[in-house]
Amino acid sequence: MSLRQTDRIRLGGGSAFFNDRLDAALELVEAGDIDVLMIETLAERTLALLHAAKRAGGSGYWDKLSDRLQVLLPACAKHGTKFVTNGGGAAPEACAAMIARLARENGLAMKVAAVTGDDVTELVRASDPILLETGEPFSKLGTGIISTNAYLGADAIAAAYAAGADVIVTGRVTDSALALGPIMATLGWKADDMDAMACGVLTGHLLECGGQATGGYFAEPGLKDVPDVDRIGFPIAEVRNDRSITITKPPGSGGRIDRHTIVEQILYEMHDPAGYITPDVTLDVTDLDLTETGAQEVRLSGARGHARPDKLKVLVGVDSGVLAEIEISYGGINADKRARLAADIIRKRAARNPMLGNQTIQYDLIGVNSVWPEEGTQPVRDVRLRVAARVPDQRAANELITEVESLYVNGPAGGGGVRFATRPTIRTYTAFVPRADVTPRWTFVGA
Amino acid sequence: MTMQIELFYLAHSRTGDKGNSQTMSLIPYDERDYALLEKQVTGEAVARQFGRLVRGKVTRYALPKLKAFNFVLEDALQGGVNDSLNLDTHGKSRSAVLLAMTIEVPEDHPAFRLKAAQ
Repeated sequence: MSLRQTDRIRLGGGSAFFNDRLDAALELVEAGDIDVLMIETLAERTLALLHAAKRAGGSGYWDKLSDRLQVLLPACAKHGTKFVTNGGGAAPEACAAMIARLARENGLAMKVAAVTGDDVTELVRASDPILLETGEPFSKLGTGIISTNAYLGADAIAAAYAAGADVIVTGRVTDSALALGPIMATLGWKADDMDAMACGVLTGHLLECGGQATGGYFAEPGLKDVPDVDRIGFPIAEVRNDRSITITKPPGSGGRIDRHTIVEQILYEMHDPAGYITPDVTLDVTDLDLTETGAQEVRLSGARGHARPDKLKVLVGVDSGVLAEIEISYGGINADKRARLAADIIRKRAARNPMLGNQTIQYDLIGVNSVWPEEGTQPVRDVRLRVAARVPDQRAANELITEVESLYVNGPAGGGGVRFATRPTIRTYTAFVPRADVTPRWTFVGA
Repeated sequence: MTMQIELFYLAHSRTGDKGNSQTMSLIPYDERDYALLEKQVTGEAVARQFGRLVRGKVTRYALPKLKAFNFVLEDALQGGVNDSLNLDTHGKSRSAVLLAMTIEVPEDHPAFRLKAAQ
């Protein structure tokens, strides 16, 4: 392994969600000259689903991770790239053990660490905090609670990284902490240096959505085109001691880095740009200096940090039944009228059905009014009726499926292409717990 | 003389969601249009543009240094991922609603040439 400099660190944003592109992550490791590959996998509900799967006898982490690691781990070992992921889900230690086993089977000498402490089920049960959404205590939720996890900051990740971990596996941490931890450990930045923390959090924020920083989710044909949009290179952030961040991507990759793509990602899912709250610092991006320092290269400096909150955010996941979505298409003259008649038939029959009568059912005409609020005046010739409802269980979902499917033979003329999907849904509630009551831990895990 | 044109030809936008709130950036293609947007794309104007889709407060944050705006639309996602039955549960496609808003620009503004070329 080559000696790494300590006045700068290069991190790659290898994933925006659990099913993101593997080839782009591999390209970061093989061609990006990165010190750290960051793999974000846990959307708000993903963790609750993993907890539910664990309870049902599953691993508790994302099972497909091992397939991806078969590809990524040898590349990381070869290039001396550290691997940091929140893919441990509901079982970071078991996931770390799986990775250690995988490394051993592949003949790779890698030290694997797990970060735990985000599962605050006991704490929340005992302290019974008020929930943001209901204004009522947690205990009022009753049954169906699947997961109770605090958003941890970067401290345990930084400690594991400083201790020489090659792979760090966490459960729930803020996405930006996956970057901030290695940055703190490498550059020697301390948690009370608020502008430094702000620089690290901004780095994580820019990397956590992968290609969204480098021309993904951006193209508008003819207006804002993205070169080689089919092979967008994922972002690389080089963070230096002077608290600057330079964003690039692997040489020769597709995509686009300029003021436009980077500002879109800076503001993505931000509320007050002067007060983006994380467990590590409150980030202020209003004073940022952004310079296009080269083709496909942007330099940022001037991230400001304000005091971090005294409380940590906790997400409570609660079983909220089954979402059923069923669709049927109509074409040609009067297609929309036949689709509306089909909706009317379902509406009337559902009202008479004891399992569906009390449920809210939504009807959308795809091609007419599903993602655009105003209906056009042009006749439409290709319409898809979408029927959606959140129902208590699979049996009720099946009732609704039956109703739509039977339109094949009993509904308006010419309906076709029925497809349906059902999936368990999770409702999330927010609580806050004192930081001092939550103890992030890390440990090396053997095979 | 000024003429009406859709924001689409002057700026781009990305939406995100946090619960039942929608966040939305607005970034001019040409930094010189920042002042024009600042004057016309106010929180009130955006609330009007979204009409029945937004039930809560609309807040605009201006970023004069980055030459961009950030909007937060409260109670705008029909319940968001928790409750919405919308096809686009997260409201990701709603940036198109913002960009369809019309503003007044000088009749010789380059945006008209861009529109004619589309």
